[in-house]
Amino acid sequence: MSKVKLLSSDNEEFTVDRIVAEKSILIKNMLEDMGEMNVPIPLPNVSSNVLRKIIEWCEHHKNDLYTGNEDETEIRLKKSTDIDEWDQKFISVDQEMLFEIILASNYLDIKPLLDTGCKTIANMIRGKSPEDIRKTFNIPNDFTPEEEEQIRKENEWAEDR
Amino acid sequence: MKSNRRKRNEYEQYIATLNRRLDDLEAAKIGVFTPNIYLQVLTFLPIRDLRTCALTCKAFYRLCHNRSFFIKKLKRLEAWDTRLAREHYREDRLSSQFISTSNDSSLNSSSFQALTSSSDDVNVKTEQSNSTVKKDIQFPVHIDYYSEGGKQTVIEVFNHIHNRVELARQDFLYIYQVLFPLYDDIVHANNTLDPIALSAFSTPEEQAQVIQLLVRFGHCAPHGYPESIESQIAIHKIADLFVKACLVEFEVGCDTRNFKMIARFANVLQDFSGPDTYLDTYVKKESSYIRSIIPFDPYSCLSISEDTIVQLAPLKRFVEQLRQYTLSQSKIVEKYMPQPEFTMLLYSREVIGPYLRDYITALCEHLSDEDLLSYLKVISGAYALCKSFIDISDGFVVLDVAFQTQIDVYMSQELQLLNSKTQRIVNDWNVELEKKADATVSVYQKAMSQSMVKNTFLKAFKEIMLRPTSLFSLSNTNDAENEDTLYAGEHKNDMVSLELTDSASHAFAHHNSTASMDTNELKLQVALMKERLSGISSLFNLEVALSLIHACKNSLARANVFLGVSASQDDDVRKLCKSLFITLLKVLGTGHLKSGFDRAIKHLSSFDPRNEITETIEPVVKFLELISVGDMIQQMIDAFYEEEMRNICVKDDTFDPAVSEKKNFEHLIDEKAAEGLHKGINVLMEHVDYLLETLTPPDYFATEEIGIVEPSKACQYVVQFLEYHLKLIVGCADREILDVFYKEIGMRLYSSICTFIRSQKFTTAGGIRFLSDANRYYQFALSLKQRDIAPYFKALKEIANLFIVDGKNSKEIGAITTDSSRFSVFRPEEVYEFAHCRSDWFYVKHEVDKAIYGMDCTVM
Repeated sequence: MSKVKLLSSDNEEFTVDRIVAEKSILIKNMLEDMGEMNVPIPLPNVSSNVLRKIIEWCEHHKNDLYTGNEDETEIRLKKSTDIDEWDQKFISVDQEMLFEIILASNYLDIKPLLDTGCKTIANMIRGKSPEDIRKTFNIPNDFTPEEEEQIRKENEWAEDR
Repeated sequence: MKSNRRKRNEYEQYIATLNRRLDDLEAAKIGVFTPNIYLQVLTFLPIRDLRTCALTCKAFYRLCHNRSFFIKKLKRLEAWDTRLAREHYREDRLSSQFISTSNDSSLNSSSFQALTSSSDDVNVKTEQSNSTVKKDIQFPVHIDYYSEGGKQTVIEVFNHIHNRVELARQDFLYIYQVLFPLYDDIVHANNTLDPIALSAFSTPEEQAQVIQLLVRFGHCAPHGYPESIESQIAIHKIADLFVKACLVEFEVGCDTRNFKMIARFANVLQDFSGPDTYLDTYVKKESSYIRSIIPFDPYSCLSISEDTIVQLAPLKRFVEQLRQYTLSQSKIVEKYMPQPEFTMLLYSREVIGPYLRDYITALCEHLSDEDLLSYLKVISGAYALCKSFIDISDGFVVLDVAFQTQIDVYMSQELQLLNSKTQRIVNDWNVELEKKADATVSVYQKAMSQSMVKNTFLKAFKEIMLRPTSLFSLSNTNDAENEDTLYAGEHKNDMVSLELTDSASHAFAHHNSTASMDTNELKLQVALMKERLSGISSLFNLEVALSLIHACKNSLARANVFLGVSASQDDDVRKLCKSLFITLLKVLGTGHLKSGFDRAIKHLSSFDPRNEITETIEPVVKFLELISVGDMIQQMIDAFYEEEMRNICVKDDTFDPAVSEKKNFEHLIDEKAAEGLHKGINVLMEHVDYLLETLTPPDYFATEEIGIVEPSKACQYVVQFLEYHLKLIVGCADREILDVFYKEIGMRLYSSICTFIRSQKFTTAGGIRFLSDANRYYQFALSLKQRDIAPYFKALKEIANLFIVDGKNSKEIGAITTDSSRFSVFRPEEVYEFAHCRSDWFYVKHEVDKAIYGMDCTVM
């Protein structure tokens, strides 16, 4: 089985089976376009810690079928009553690492992993106040008080009774 | 190297692209994530948290208004038609080309102009205002659920879906605002009476609709969150309670036969949870109801009277009642039930069928142990009666359910019965035969025109065959008994003289009670045949064959009742019919005919034809009659096959077991006939030799006096003897077999005569005597109508001429001897040999030799 070399942002080289690397649609497409490559693929936004984590996930899921079509995504959404046990454990990391994994899986285009990450995030912010959410995602409040008032009014439809 | 460099170049370009992508992603970030990640996160959030998120910042606000969200949610509510939405989108695109493009920047239906005018393009397209879409809904929506209008709004909530991308959010919000208060109310309600959904909507129809709406509404929450699961459980609990309550009402309706009530709750339940829930109850109730109004009386069929074991009249009454009831019930179902066809199917399968089955099972349980025949008759008769169900819809289902278990038993038992019954007939007859063996006195028939008698008999037989049977007519139930006593109880018959004949024809008479005239004729014919064939009654018996066929016909008639209901059953029945037919042929052929033939052949072999001079040889006569009867039986089987099996077998299909068994049967008869005939010919011809030897006085041909020129006594006896036996066989075997037989007789007779000539000495006068014999033989040979053998007998006449020539003309003798035109069948040497038989041979030999071999020979 052919191998693929990946280079993390801190210049650590990882050698993995092609089937594992191809869990990333980005790498899969690249390999299809470029053919065999001896040079490592640089991943300048993924640190070796994160890359190791992601490769771990890919190894575990290398035999999963994922066709990536829309209907299946829908099914996956419906079935997403919870995150599968192994993933649950896998994703139990500190927030910084979680964010890194999500960003990396977004960049590498690993949809199931991104989903898992997003679900975890959704669970995190559920029931939180807007301020908490802003803090979590490090976003400033750019509403004027009037605008905020208007949105609250608009949102009355979903107000608890 | 060059390609390597190019590859490297490509690779670098690719990496550059990737880096650009990374930069883009980096640039698009809001806080820690890119918008598409946030969007994904929001997808997993319930509505309430979405609201919070909208308050976070402007970018989040926009994301929360993303249409794809709401489209997804509408899809979960099954309130989104993707195809329709696409069409709408296309239409809008087309029409928007006519609207000036300058509108774009200012157009947005959102109340928040400042936000939507941002150039950020994370799936948030500026909403195109569309003049064709009315936005008449005012948010927030307030509904008074207790008013008629409010109720109407709730029930019709899903009727307002636009299936337009740009209105997805609005549509969803509308549904949410209408249903959420009800939903929330139920989830947090303390008992089942309080919820607005049940108190505002008071009729069961409305309640059903609302509960269904709420169950549907529950799907819009993202899955996997404890709250949404709990809420759904609460809603489903209410739904279950509601179904239970409706079922109770429905049951009350069934119990009181209140069809309006039944109809009402059937409709509610049908709409709410499909047909299964209430039909189950319905079937149970109807089952007990029908059992209460139509009496279950299988035991009255088992009334014990002298000549009947089972009477089907109660069953007929029962079936008729059941049928009438089913018909009236189907009208009620048609009128009141929401799914009449399905209900009727279920009704037939679960109510009528089982009741009928119970009846028949109860009836059969009391029969099968004691009396197999009655069981078969009852099953078949009952099936014939129940076939009246086929006319009504789903009647087949009733039949299927009622007889499912019995049919297989029937099939195997029917075959077994025929098997054992036919075996018994044959065995009984064999036993009978042994008893009578000593008493059998051979009373032989004079030659008779058998073929004519046979034809009349077969004609009568066919007529009977063609007549439709009324096996199951209720008036004829004593048929069973009669059939049974057919052989076992012949002593009951007063007319002992007719013996079996009577009871056999009696069976036929019963069989066709309507056609008594014809049966009488057949009876007569059977008696006639019986009398004529008494000589071979010890070998095999027409009556036995008749009753075997009769038994098979009865079985077939019973089996045929099961035809025409379903294709698969037809196949099974056909298989059974074939098996029955095969059984008949096996028992009749191997069991009966073969043993008869074998006995006759054995008898033939052990007969000593040189014992005494007789006109007839008893075993041969017997055997010829046997062939005649065998042929008749075969023709009966043919007629039977034509009549009964034609529809069942593919004609001339050699792979059909029945057809091939029939061929085997015919082959068996032919083979045995041929074997017997072969033996018979041996015996006949040996007796001919014996006749020739014993009846010709010594020197009969060596005499000098001519006397009266007429065939010798031996010759007359021989011809008479042969003619008698040949007549017997006419019309009883194939033309082919006859030809072979005649030819064989002719040839054998010829060689016997040749041998005989060689043993005699002939004077001229004796030659004349012999000539008249030869003429007689020739005449006989011609009567055989075998062209091949005539020349031989003609040659015999020429041999006579050989003797007639006066010894003085010995040269003439030599000339005749060498005249091959005279003796077409002899070689000159043979003729020469015959010339030895001249009494004056030694005197003429010299001259004859001279004539044959020429003058020179004598010199030598």
